[in-house]
Amino acid sequence: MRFLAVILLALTGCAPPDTWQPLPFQRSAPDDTPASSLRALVRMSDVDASRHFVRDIDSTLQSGAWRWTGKRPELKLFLESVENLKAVVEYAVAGDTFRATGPVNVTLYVNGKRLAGRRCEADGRYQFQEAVAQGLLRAKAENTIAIEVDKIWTSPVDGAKMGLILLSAGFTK
Amino acid sequence: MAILGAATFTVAVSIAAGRLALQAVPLRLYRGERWALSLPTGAACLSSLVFALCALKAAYPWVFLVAGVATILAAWRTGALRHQGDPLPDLPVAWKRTLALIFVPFGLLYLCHALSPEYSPDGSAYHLGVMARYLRAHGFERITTNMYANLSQGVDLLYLFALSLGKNSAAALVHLSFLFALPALLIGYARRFGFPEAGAFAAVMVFTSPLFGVDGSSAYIDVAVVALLFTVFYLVRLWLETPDVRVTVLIGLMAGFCYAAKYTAALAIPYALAVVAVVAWRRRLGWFRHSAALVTAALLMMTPWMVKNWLWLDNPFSPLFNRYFPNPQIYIAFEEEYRASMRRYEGVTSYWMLPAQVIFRGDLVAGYLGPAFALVPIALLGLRNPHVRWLVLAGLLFGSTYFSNVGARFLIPAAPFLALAMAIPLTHIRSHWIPLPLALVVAWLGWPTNTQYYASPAAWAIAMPDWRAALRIRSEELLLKERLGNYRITRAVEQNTPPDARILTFTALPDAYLSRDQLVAYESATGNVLRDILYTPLTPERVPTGRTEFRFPLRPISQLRIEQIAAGKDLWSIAEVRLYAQGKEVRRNARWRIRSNANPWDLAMAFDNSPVTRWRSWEAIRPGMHIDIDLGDPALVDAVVLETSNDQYEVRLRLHGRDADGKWSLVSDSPVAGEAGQYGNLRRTAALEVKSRGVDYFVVFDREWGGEDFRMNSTSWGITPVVAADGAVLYRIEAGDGTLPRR
Repeated sequence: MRFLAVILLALTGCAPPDTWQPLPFQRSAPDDTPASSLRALVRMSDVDASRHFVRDIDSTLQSGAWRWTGKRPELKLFLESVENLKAVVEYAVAGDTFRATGPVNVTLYVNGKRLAGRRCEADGRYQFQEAVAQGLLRAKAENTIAIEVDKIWTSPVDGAKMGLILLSAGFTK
Repeated sequence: MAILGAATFTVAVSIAAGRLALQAVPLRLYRGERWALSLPTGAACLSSLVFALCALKAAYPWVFLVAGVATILAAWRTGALRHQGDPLPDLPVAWKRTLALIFVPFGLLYLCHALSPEYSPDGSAYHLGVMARYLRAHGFERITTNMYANLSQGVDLLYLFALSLGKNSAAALVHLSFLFALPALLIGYARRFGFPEAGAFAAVMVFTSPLFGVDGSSAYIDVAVVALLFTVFYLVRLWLETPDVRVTVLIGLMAGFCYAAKYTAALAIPYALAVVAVVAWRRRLGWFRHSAALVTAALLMMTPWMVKNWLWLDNPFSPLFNRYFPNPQIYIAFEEEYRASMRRYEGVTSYWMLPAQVIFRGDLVAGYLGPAFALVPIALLGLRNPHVRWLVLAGLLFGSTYFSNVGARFLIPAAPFLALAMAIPLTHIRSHWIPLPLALVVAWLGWPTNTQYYASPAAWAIAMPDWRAALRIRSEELLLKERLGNYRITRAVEQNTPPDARILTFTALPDAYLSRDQLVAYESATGNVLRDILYTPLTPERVPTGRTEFRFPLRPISQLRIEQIAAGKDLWSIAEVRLYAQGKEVRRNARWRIRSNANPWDLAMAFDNSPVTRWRSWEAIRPGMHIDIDLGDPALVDAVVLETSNDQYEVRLRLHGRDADGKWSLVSDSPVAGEAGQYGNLRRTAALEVKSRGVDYFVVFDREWGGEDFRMNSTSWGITPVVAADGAVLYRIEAGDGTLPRR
């Protein structure tokens, strides 16, 4: 009998096509704390990337993948734990700026402390991937990651300052 | 002992039922073939009985026990179990000895494998998983979240019978009985019709095939299905000698049971019907009477499965043909994508790779039949023989669905027919010195330690079993941890979640070892939607950053229709529909009504004010798809905005409106594209949305999309890692201030 009852319920339970339905329950955005809205790794194409920016990162997403930076772009990130983490930054030196600046030195900082440096002898794509000592990081808290370029290009037309092309930055295992 | 006892009892009940059924038809059967035919015939009877008990929610071990004992007693009292008929024409002694030499070690190998704890992929996932669920519920349950549970389960119900009295391995042993019955059927058929050596050779080919071995000694159904197909073929051949309508009915019942066992095996029905109708017509036996009897009997076996699916899933053939039977359980686009993926396995770049793969490599098509099947073209040499022609015809017909799924085991329905067709001309050589040694070579090649010389080690094939685990001297746990990839995380989920928990997974965990309600992301529309929600924050293309705006002069509107006018392959989706008047959003109210002629079941997701849910057409766009909004009372509107994801390039829209007088007109056919605003924490929003749909837990493997993101950003998601094993993490979605009411 229960089988038959379930069958009857199933028959009446499905909305057949083209039948009017009422509106559903209306959602609202969940309560959000600043820390919980941050992540450990940010791609510039992420829709919420800008909430991780501290300074020197352009608000306009270029080609759906990257953003211009100034001299010292910095991001804030939230870390659950701090064991066995690597700081990862994907960036590029643009051909146009490189012609003006020549080789540039790029330095990686975590929580304001220098972690690594690299000299970029040509334009093109680069990546930092450096292990980070646990003591340098804070678990369940905001941490910052920054890269600094020693030379930037200033537009003679509008004075805009262009540093590097930033694709992603953050921490990974 | 319980395992062996349960399986033996199930097989004994089937045989008893089969003997009773065969007694009711006027067939002149030899003693051996009566025994061989009784298992598949009785399986149809027992399966039908279990179906009825499941429908009545009476699937209890004691009910099965009573029904089984009653069946055996009935067969005993009516004399059905007594030896009947003459012995079959003899098999040469050399062949008898060869068969004994081959079948005894292989039989023990398979027995040991079947007795081992079940770790086959599909067996541990759904064949046993769904049956275990039925057993817990004492009958059928409406399962809308696992498309495999909607397939016909005629053979699986035999496993349910065995499972209720024994453990998982009892099911594999029941399947093994069909692997033993199949050579008996081949040899019986061949001995009756005068080519016993060919039958013996084909039996060796089939029985020692690494694919038949591993499949037939696991809780799969393929070997049982081909045994049923061969039974239909056998009975049709017998009908030509005894064209009695009672035999026709038996053929119809068995052909219908083929459908009940596996959808693709329904080909037995047109085969049997064509032969019976044509022969009855030519011999003036009353072709309509025979055809009607056959079809009616077949429908009797098929209809219960169709009705079950029709009533519970709105599609009698679920999970197939959803385009013709649209329903909220399986999306059309998902079915098409799934079928396409089955037609072309990963790594199979050309169909020309398939012969080598299915015969001896096996790594890309999940198994291989064995090198002996390279000899199948020899069958062409025997086409002058009518038996060869019948066998080739049946083999080609039953194998005709192969290209809908190119896995090697989908050739199993054709293999025994083609093996026997090939063996007939081969054994016509007037000397034992070729077929006999060849049979020994075939068997040697099929032995697990020898397959390394030609097959890929990655292929699914029978391996040397662990006899200590088979006898439970070694713990079941240890073997499963060793051989079943996801066993540890499965048990961890079982131990760390409440009994009523619903768990979302992106890789199926073996349901045979999990009593929780598992929702696999790719097994149902519900799973598809949950995955879409959870992946939205991880995939820029899914986030509704697009904005399509229809602008028009302010006017009173009572109804709106957003019509899609292009044809293409894209799916149409809308995250949110918003109406505006003079720059302000027109507030939605309780009088609003919505509808659509494409996937109406999800339409609410375009009106729920959530950026992580979206209505999707879930079928390729076609002109005329539309969404309607009834505002109840006319309202002033001058813009309609659709917030959309950026993964639909072919969609073309126009807007129709109905004014206060009830007149419809085109409002705008030139929407303006733009960008939607920013959203808050999409991760938390998505997690809460999933939770509101009754899913408090999910399992993600590190290798899966989002694995690292969930681990690194658990606070942002509002999830807590509960336990980790096998490279996977079980997360609990925490409730929060933004928790939505349960849907």
